[in-house]
Amino acid sequence: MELSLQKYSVQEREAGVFLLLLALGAALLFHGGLTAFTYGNTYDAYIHMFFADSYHRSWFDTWEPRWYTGFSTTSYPPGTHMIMAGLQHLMPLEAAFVATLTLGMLILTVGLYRFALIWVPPRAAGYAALGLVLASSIAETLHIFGQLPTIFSLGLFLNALPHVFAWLVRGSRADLLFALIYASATTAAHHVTTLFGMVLFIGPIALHALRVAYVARTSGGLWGRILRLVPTLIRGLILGTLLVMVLVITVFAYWYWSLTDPITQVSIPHGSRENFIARPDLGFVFFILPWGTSLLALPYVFYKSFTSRLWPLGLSILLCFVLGTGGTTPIPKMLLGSAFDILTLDRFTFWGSILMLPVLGFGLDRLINGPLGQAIKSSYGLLIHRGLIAAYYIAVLVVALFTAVLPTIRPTQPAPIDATPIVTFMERDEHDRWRYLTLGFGDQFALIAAKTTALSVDGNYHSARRLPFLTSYAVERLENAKYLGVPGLGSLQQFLINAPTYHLKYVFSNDAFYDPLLHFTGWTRLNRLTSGVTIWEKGDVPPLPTILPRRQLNPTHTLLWSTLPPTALTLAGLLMLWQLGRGQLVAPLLTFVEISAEPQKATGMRRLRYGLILVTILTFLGCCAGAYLAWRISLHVPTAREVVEAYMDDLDFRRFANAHARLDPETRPDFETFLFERLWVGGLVNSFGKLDSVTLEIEDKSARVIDWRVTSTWLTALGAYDQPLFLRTIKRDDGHWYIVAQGLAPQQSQDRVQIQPGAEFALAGRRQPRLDTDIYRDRVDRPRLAMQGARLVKQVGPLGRYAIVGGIYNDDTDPAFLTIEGRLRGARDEILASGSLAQHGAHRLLGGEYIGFRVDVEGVLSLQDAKPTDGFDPDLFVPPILEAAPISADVTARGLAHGADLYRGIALLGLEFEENEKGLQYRGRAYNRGTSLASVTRITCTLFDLTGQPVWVQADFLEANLIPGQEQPFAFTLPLRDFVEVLTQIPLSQMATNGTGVAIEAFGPAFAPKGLIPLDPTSGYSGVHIHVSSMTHDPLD
Amino acid sequence: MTHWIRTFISYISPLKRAAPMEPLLCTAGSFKLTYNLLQGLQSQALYQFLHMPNLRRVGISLFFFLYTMPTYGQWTSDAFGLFDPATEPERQAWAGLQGERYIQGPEPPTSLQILMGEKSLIAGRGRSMALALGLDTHGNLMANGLITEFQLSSEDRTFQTESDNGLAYIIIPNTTLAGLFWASALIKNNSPLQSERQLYRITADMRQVVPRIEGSRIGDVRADLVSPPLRDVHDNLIDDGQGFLFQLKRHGKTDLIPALSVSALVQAQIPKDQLDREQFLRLSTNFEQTDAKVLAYAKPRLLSPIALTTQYNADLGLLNVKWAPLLTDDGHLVPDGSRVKLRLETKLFDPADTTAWVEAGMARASLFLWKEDFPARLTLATSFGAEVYEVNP
Repeated sequence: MELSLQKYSVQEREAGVFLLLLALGAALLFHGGLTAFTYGNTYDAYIHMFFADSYHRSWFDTWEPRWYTGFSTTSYPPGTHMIMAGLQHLMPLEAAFVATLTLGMLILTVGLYRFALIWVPPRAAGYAALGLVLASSIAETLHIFGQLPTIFSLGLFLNALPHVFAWLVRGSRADLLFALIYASATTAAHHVTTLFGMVLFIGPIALHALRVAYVARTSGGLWGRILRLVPTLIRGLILGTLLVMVLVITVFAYWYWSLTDPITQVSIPHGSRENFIARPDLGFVFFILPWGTSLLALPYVFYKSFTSRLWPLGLSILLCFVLGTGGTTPIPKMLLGSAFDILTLDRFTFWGSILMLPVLGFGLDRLINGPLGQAIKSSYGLLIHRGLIAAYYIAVLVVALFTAVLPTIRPTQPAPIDATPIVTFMERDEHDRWRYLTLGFGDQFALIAAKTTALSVDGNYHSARRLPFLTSYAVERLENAKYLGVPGLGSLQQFLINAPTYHLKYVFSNDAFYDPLLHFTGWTRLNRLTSGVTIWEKGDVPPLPTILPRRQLNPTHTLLWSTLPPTALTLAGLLMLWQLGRGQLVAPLLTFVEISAEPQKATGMRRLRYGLILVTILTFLGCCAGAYLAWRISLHVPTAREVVEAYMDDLDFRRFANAHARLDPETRPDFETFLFERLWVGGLVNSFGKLDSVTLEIEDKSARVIDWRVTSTWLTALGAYDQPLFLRTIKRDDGHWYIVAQGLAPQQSQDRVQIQPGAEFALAGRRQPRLDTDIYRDRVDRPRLAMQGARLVKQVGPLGRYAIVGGIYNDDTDPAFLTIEGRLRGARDEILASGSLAQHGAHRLLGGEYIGFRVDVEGVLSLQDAKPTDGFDPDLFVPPILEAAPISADVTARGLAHGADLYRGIALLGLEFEENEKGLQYRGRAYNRGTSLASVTRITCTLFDLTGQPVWVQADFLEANLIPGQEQPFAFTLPLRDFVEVLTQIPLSQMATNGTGVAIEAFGPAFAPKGLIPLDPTSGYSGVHIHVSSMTHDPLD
Repeated sequence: MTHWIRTFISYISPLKRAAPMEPLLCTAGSFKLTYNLLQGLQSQALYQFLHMPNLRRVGISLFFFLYTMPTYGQWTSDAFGLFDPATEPERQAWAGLQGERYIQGPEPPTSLQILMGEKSLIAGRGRSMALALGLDTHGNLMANGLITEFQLSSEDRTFQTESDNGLAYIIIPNTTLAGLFWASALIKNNSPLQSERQLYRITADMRQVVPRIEGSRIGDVRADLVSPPLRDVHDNLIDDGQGFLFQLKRHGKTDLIPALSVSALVQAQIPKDQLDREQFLRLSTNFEQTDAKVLAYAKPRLLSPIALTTQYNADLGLLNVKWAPLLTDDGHLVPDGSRVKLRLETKLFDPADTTAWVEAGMARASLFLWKEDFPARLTLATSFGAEVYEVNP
């Protein structure tokens, strides 16, 4: 076959341009209009805004101190961020993001049209461009993921491809230059697009170019043809080399960073690598949704591409399709090797959905204007023809719209949080001299971070994590720790407990789940902002040093980083404008109409007819099956088990109306009574817990009645709690199962009014009109403390849990906020490990109060350790990895005058101890004799051995709240004496309070506080000291 | 080149606030520094070198070659940065130069501040320090040897001392008197200077507080546990907000009732239905505790029989029971909120316990029982007594 180079007809080209303009208009209206409303629900938008803000604040400074105690912005290509940073001089950050994303979408539409022109005629390319705007993969990338660099870079890259093809075929240097300029701009926006685009996009084009060279002339025989491939191959080699150079040079600092960064990180699990059959929810998000209606067209795309000159494109689409299946089959892992665990594989699905558009556009063109359409029109009439096309576009549009608004229907982010009060707080009274942390903000954390100059220990770009507690965990960020099981809460706990190490002083919490953990690890609730966010503060945290360490980047790298990417983008922009001005932007560079192997007339009308009938029948059957399924679902009568499970679920999500409807209509109380009973009982489990699992066990069963023993497991930040429950279900005459109502009978207080005398404390904070309104206000006024009987102990068992226990006394009249830290030391007095007081003790002591403390020394949980548990276990202990067995230890305590969270209104009544095989059980009733609601109450037991020294400290938490005047029973178990081995008595010289040992010496070595409850010496303990403290606010306060 | 770029970047891009650059005063010193050869070149010279037409390409190649080649040189650092001593001999001569010393004495002090330590002083225990800091009009510390007089309102005399290194201080044993006091300092110079008054607090010695219990009052609803005004060994009333603990012991069980001191009194209340007829009460600090004091309570008994109303739903196997009125032998209803323990015993299964609460003299409960479980034995127990019932459908 002789190859001929000729131009398309004017009508063909005009139709293509018309469709392109239509696509651009649709992109502007549809995506540009929607983005302004959807960016807040996306995963990545705020992260890109943060980076943009970083460049806006300091274009040439690549060190960003606001996340992870500092990281280099060279860890992400800067192109789109710099565009936004530039636009920030004209408009707000959010508007700059929307504008850049819309611009990227327009460039992508033009690029797709130009890319399609390589393969198909202009009108088909126009349909491809229209298909791009309506593609669900684009809607997902824009409105769910907010991946600005992906869109922008792909747009630029697609604009480079016509020049790549032209260079390979005809060898014009201008085309090579233009291709390199676009490729450089692509790299500036996102290097991954260039890297994989060289294989997935340029690969097919190269094959196409070789084929063109091969079939261009038929004379010369086989060897002659093969020899004619040589110039194309050489040009390909030159192009490849230059592209690699462009890829390296444009973002050289990025490559340098990725090769030299010493931090070894655990890779973050990603849903796109999962088995989509086992996890259909992930399959929906990462496979079904991006392909969308294109899935139906895939058979046609593969058929058409593999039976025509489009086969290189078909190969690339097939590769993307296979890689996009993630862990569903072993093939992607085999193909990608170790890269499988790093890459997000949904990107391949995205590229595949773009690659198929030229073929799809070609098919649509044939359906609408081509012989296929003519055949349908002549056979079935115009109505059917137009109906088919309309049905297709409606289906595509519906899926795209659904995808775009999906985050609004099923929000993946918390409700919008007003950043202003938080930013104001951090800027006020020098609060930004410390770091902060947000909890429950979702990706909005990045926006908060962008709007303030204050620093956070957390971050939203996991590749840049630097702190060991983060890099060793598979935790993307602390912010959403509760969803990340053991690694997440383990990381968070370490940061909350060891806050002084990180200069972490403020926590902004948008999720009450964390409240108990914050309170009982020594955080004080300051106030609640109008946005519902609660501010927590930790006392006695040293402020950040004036000069922070920073990783110095080579100035040349910095200069290259700050100038090359924007230069590349500017050149690409100017080139586009120049090409537009010369009418070259949307004109086909090379046209090979005649090489198309597609028949110009529709053939096989009988097959077409059968095909259409088959499609019609299948559609009809599908509709019937769907309707039948819906009918069956509507008729489905939930089983008794399903009713109980749904009831527990309703209670967990506080859908009380639904839960009430599941109660037996003949015996249930009215809804108000039911609601009152439920809301009356709060506390650790009901107010701050999350239902983790429900186990149902049938206790008795008849045809109409089934008795269930229900064990519900509730997760809280402080522990997991099992709640046994007995439920009876009954089948009524309507055939439905109901739960027999049991009244909770809320307890009533005896007094209508409870009156208590009390003492109030107010401390002057930093808002004082004096010169020392500074960092030191936080560290003066130290109440006198005395420490006693500190020991290094070890739990007997396989874990070898080390802890430092002791007692501390507030030898002052002012309440004290305690910070207690302990360190294990080896034979050479070297420090082996350290830890701080968590919840086993108390952080707040009244004047004259005594309490035992236990400082656990824990290790860092690795991902490998975390995997087998596959869930949150707050009691999990990770033994530290020590170089040698500890010989000794030291312990220091600091006190700070404190005036809040000192509620002592809980009395323990009827307390009794009993030793059994599990340990030493203590039980009684907790009674709130005060005037405040005790939402979570902690009982701290300090056990003294027969020498009169503290040997173990344990804190237990009541599950329910205590309203003033009410009580609840409790029972907990303390360890037996032989469970704890005393390794060494810590000498006075190794103990310090407020930096000195003066108070300790005066205390006396054999001191044991009065008021101990004596225990039977056969238990190995001489007595127990009990201290009760409470958190006194509800989530809805 | 590198230096030029760094300067350029510093100029164009002010560093972010978290890493402020502050002027650093450094001592002049000479040391050997590894650097790149072209670093020392002036940018103008470099520009000319690179733009010599014939040498441009060679020059660029040479530049990149030399740029990456490290070498050594002698450098001097002074307060203004690094420099090459060979090229700047005059600056080198000034670097590290120290002039002849002379001392300019301070002028008479114009401000006097007094500080008292420690934060809170304990009556009769430890020592306190009064410190005066004098500054002249330029902020210099006051001269040595100035007679400084301290006046402390907790002491009945004044103290005199001489200033040294700008400070004058006295250390004295704490008085045994607790309270809020003031201190001031006075320099008796040609122009006497007095400080402002500084408040300081001396607190009662909590380690030496002797707890005591006053007669406890048992009212209609609650039992009040009260101490008399508590004092330390120096007869100072204790401060507010100090932690104490009441303990009630009876029949092997203990009640722990934490309490705060308010106006030197420690008091707490518990519902009287929690009391037995006899228990032993103690009040303790961490260092001292009272002897056990008998707390007797003429506890009324549950008046029986109590009317029991049952309603059985055979369909659900649900037995609704109601006791009313729950009365005690002193003629009162059992208080609202009193806990009622219920024990259900049948022939077919193990005893099952549940709880209910008294409300308006009535207790209610719902129990699951099938017909074949009857007769059942139902025990109702309150802190005032118990009652046993035989229940049939």
